[in-house]
Amino acid sequence: MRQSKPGLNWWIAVTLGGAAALGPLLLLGLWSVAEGWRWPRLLPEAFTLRAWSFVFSNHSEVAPALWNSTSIGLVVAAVSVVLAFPAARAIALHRFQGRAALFAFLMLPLLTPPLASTMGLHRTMLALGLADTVPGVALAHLVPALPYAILVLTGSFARFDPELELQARTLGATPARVLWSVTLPVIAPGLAAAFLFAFLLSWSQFLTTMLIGGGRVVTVPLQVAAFQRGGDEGIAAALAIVLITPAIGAAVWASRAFHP
Amino acid sequence: MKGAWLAAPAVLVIALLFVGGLILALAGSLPLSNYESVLRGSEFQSSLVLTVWIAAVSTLFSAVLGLLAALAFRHTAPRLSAMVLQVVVVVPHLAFAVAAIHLLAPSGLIARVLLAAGLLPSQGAFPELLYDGWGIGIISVYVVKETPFLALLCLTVLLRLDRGLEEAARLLGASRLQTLLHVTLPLVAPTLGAGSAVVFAFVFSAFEVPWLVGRTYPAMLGVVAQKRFMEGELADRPEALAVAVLGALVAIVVTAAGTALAGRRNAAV
Repeated sequence: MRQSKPGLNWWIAVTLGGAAALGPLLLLGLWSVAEGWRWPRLLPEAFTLRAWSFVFSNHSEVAPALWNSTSIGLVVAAVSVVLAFPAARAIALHRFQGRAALFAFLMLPLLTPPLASTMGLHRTMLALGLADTVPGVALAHLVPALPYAILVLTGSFARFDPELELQARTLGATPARVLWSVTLPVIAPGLAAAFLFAFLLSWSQFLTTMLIGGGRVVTVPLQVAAFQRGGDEGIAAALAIVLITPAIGAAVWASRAFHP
Repeated sequence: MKGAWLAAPAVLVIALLFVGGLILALAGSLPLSNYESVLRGSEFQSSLVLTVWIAAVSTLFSAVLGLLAALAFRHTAPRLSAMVLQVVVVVPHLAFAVAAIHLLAPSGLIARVLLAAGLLPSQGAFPELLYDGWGIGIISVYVVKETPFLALLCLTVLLRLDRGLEEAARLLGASRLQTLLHVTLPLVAPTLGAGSAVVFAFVFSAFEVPWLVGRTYPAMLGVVAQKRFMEGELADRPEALAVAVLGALVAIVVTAAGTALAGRRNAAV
């Protein structure tokens, strides 16, 4: 690959892109520590940690949102990976009729706008008594998370050589031992990436949580919008930063893990 | 057939939660007279026009800017650029929507900077960008979010591209612009086309961004459907479902058409 010195185009792209992409996030950071920022001042009059201490206090309405977002995200990610593991293996390593159709079916939720199916799912949740509950919201989050986990793991299994397992079996290893000592270590980076993607998808869900949770299940994104609309911009900004932190962490980790 | 059973649990989950949801949404939106009254309603019509406008403009800007960014980052520090682009791709839209309020509002940072620079006579002179009829606030958020997504897609193709084709064109006397238009762009077009179709469908089914930085009337389709579903009477639900189903249909048709078109061009290349 030819690498050249940064030209004018590059500097323009970097400046414009950097300002458009990172400027808004810096602005959120400033709002989260601003104590009064009246028109037409260019910078906040004073700084305060009020919003941040509110976000991390135990008796605010933020604590249940943090707890719900984290626990729902972890459960959704774990269930997605457990379900995606055998499915991805089937798609990548087994040859059977209808394999392409099976893959397309599993990817359907990624290609269809979620609103209609989520509204229908609300009726299922009502019938099961899971509407307006945390388990109901977690089940609804599986719909976008599972296909992503399958997509990531199918990529990992496509590069996996099943001969390795056969050799271990021939040498006398039990199937459980083969899974634990051969398959899982090789697939581990894919598993981690699938878990991370599924968590992030659940973590940033908005409309699905709103519809299935019926306003009774609060999560971080719902609280960001609630505080913003309620007029407390400092807390909304601080919560927005909490919202983006796992995403940025994941992007940095992923680029280090995949391009060493 | 033995291996297929490994996928059974995942298939069951998608079938119950997703396909089941779609079927219940379809069933709940019947009889067809609900669709008739939705399609005849002025709210749906103006909302559909607004939704198509916002999705089309956001997609167009993101595609052009994404392509330009990919071309600019192609030769210099492509890996580092890809990492920065990735950060923007994974940050939830909601964060950019909140930031857009602080930037674009009549009392936002842009208005303040213009006033300090003497370019704005008074606060009232700053145009209404957020809750305007053209959806400028919504479009801005999506352009910032989707440009890096399309740039990443283009960059991946460009980095894998056989440089020989372009070098041959240059050696045969083609100018830089000719090489770009007749060699490079046709090679990137299928990926950019498919990616743009995905972006269009995604913006088309937007909710939280227009809910925060858009007008309440006319609102984008997702906002209209959600409002009728959650705030309306139980009797409003069939029509809310009809709006959601119609929106999904348009989005699916556009994605399928875009992907098919891109696939055909891909086969031609």
